[in-house]
Amino acid sequence: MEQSIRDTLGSARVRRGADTGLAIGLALLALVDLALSSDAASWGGRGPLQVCLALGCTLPLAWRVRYPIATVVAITAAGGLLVAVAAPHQAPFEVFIGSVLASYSIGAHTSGRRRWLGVGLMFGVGLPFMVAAAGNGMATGNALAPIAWLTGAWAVGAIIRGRRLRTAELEQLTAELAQQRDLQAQAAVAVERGRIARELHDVVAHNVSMMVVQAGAADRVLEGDQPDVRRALAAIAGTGRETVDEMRLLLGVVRSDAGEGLSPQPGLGDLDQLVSNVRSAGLHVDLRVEGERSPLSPGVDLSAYRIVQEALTNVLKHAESATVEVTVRYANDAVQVEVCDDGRPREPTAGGGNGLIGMRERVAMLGGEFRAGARRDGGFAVFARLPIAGPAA
Amino acid sequence: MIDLLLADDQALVRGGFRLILNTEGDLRVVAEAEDGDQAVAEAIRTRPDVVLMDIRMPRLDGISATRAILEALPAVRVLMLTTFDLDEYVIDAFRAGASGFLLKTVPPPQLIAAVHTVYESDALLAPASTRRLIEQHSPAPVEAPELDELTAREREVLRLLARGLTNAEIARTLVVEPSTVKSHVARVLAKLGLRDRVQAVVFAYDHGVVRPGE
Repeated sequence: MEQSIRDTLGSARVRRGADTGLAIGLALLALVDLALSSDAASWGGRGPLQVCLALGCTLPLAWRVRYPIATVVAITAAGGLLVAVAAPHQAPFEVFIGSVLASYSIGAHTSGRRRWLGVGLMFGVGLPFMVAAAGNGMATGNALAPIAWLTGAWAVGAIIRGRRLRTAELEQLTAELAQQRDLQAQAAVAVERGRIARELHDVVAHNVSMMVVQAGAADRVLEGDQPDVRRALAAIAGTGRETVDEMRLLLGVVRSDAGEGLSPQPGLGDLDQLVSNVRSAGLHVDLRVEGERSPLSPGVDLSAYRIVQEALTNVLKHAESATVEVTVRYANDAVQVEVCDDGRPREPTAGGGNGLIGMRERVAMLGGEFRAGARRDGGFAVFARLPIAGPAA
Repeated sequence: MIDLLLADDQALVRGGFRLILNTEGDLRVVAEAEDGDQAVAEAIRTRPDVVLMDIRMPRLDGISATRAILEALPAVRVLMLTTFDLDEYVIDAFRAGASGFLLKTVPPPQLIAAVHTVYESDALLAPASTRRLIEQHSPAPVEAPELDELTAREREVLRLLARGLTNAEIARTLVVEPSTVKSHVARVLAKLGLRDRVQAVVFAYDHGVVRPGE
């Protein structure tokens, strides 16, 4: 919200509109003042010259941002002439406003050599008029006073310009940081997906190998020629072999360097072992299994195990001496796992990091539900519901 | 009759192999195991001739189980089975004492032939790739005083063994009878304390009897 207001106010068109309005407003004010003031002395008369000068030291403000140097030269000239003409009286206050704004604009909208050019021109044009004013009877101090406020206005402009630039830099840095964080998060997700893919490839390859063995066995045990049957069995075995070979290549691509391979991919049947390991690490764990234990596809089995494993690892790492409840619920169409602890309350991202990403990815892949977050009375809860296919034939 | 022990954590794989092997007249499956611990126990109980060992099993893995079985029953031959023939596991299997290494998806005739090969141990199983693997994964050669115990002819036989030649091929090369070769081989293995030809290949590369590329 704030950003959009700033964007709107900062947009160039609006600014130019405002400046134009300011210039016209100030010009009208000057004309009215010129026309109505009882004492024309401060204008040095009430003629066409004064009208021109009144316009000359206000209207150029419309261009104060785009052509600050031209603006300041015009306004200083017109204003200076008014000062000289009005001397020994003080010049009208519109001169003051116009020249201050013009000087400020030099500070705020120019930089480097152009800035010094602007300042130089400003004083170069204005000084002669100040001297002329002193010559016309104005006290020298009053004649030279503009130097002070013009310098001040310019300085203020320069400071504000500096601040604006620094803010812009900071905003860019912030944007870059946010982008980097996003990239890192994406990378983490990719790594997790690679790991999950590798495990599933492994499981699949083992199952396909088993199919090949069975097809080979069937062929040996089959009696008689039976060419059709044998051809079918050969096709199964052949395709299976090719599949395993290809998976072996894929495995090389997504391989990690974590030591693995000599024990099979785990499943919910291995939870007892996992829980007992966690208990010997000092955690108090309650394991509950509800519902009728049904055989799960290796993908679901493995994912469910990994979710529990990851959740328990997080408890060990972050919860500080807690009690953990692990619940596995078998239903007809899904298996649910829940890991709740009552330890130190924590946010999902604090240290959860990659673990939670992995869990989320696995559940998403299987089309299930996943929830993880702080519990109302402290601690953390992880919940996952994985659909399983209907009963096998 | 060759007695076999099948060790694999997948029941359907065991069942499939059982069907294949039992149809062969001189092969008989006498026991099965679904994890490494059970494999060791069953091997000790039934004393088979050849063990078909899945490399990847729960509780105790295939390589560790192989080591344990061979310590208890040095005469057993272990044929290692795997889904992926990843090199590093093959080497570990040989160093653990396996006599051969096979993919589970190997066609049945080749499976049966492999069982015969490691049982008769006249030849290496898949000699070219076995040799290549051992050669690729050999550490820098180390001296072996036992080599001095060998006669010149026995050292020659060892060199040819390490190149993966069968007994028949060695006989042809040295122009002697195959039976002579057989006794030479037996003496070489006994003197060097090696259990079979595969170990001879490993030994030869480890101790510089054969250099990579020969």
